[in-house]
Amino acid sequence: MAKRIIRVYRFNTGSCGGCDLEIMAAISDNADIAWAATPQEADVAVITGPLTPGAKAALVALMRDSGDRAPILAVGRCAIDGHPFGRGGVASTAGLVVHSSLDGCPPAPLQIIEAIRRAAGVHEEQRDKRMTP
Amino acid sequence: MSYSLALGPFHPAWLGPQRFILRIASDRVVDVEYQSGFNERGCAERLLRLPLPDALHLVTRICGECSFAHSLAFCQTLERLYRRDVGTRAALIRVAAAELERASAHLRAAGAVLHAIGMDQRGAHLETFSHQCRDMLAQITGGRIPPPFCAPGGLLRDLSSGDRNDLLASLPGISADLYRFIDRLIDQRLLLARTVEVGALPRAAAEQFGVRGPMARASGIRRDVRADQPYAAYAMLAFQPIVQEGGDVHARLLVLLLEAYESVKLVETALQRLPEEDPLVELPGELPHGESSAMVEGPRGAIRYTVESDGLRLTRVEIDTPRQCDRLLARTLLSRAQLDDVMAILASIAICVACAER
Ligand code: SF4
Repeated sequence: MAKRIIRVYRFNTGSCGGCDLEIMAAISDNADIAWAATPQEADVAVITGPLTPGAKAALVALMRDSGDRAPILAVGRCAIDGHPFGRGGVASTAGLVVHSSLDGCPPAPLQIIEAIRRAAGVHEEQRDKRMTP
Repeated sequence: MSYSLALGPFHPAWLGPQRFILRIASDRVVDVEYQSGFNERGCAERLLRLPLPDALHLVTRICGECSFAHSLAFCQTLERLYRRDVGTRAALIRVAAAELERASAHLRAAGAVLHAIGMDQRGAHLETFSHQCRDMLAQITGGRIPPPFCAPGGLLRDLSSGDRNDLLASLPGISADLYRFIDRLIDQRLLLARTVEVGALPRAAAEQFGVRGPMARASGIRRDVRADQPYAAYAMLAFQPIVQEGGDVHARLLVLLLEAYESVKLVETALQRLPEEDPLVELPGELPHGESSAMVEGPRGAIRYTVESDGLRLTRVEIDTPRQCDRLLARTLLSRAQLDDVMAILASIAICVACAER
């Protein structure tokens, strides 16, 4: 059976780009994961960066438009608690539900791939459960 | 008929968020709006409040892709303040790290240009080269996105002879492969058709906009800090800047590729010439009173740090980075461009907002 492709949409909310580079590296090395062109098509929404005030507004608007369909995975230490930038991260962002997170500054591409697969898998399981009465 | 097309703020091919709103008429761009600044983080102000070890960490995360360049510029600035010299071994290892970082960034940017014109296989090939360089960077610094590795006066980690031999064994193969790749690519008809006279930035405009780095050198501006004000060990390495005259996507692609090739060569020479000495340093204690400034050639152009100290702590830190993009530059590059060429033009200037929005 052909493996389903997991589509990833990435929101950089003020990262240094390090995690973004490692996510790019991870995706270009793994055929079962690809970019989503829009958040609507995403199976997993990945957040990098400490959620600067400027990026937060753009992120929240886009997530709302996409119907909050995809589970959110926060990648990198600064997305989790703002370190080393001193503030921000999902920890200090009210109203944003993050389903899973991956620590590291940056985490390695292999860890990123695993975390994406896990996020997509959990999401799929939950959806299947909802669909079978 | 004309219409508007919005690109961004998030895009898979871009590291950071930015937004272009293009006015299109008959498949050509007639006007451009550009918006960035989503990501202001206040790093320079924060540096004032941090103890040195934390400051050394923060400068490596102002821009992940130019991480080592930032920490080198910061350390060189502090070296002037502390009046500390750097030994030859540390200086050569610094060059090796800086050039691997540059090669990785350039090859990724060049790969993105090829993807944007539909040469996906070759683009993927360049990504592989870029990853290889980053893996080698990790062998030297301890991370593909380096952790603090440079410190005022030297390094925080030495290169083992095993790792050095490993690198010296793989570098010639990589530079030979890269040479062959470039040689087979540059005259391809498809490539020429999609890049020559596309997205041109004439020399006068490049001067006026103050663009730096590979983008300036692709518009005929012979400026490179490594040659103009050599630092680290560049004076020992007979470095020559690479310059192209065209100013178009083709010229920018060529500068990126040739510089990446040259970087790999520089790494090899630097590692061959390492003397036996101890490059490791303890972090200095008290800050001397004074002001200093230093500059390096980062992957995207000159990066200058300026600091001022009152003898107890830093009272001012200024980080001057290459101008990335703004509305005027976007207009100059994109106006009258065919819609199909927009992504290639943007890829060729390798905008990175991390630096600009530190
Ligand atoms: S976690 Fe570290 S490497 Fe990742 S984006 Fe944040 S600062 Fe950069």
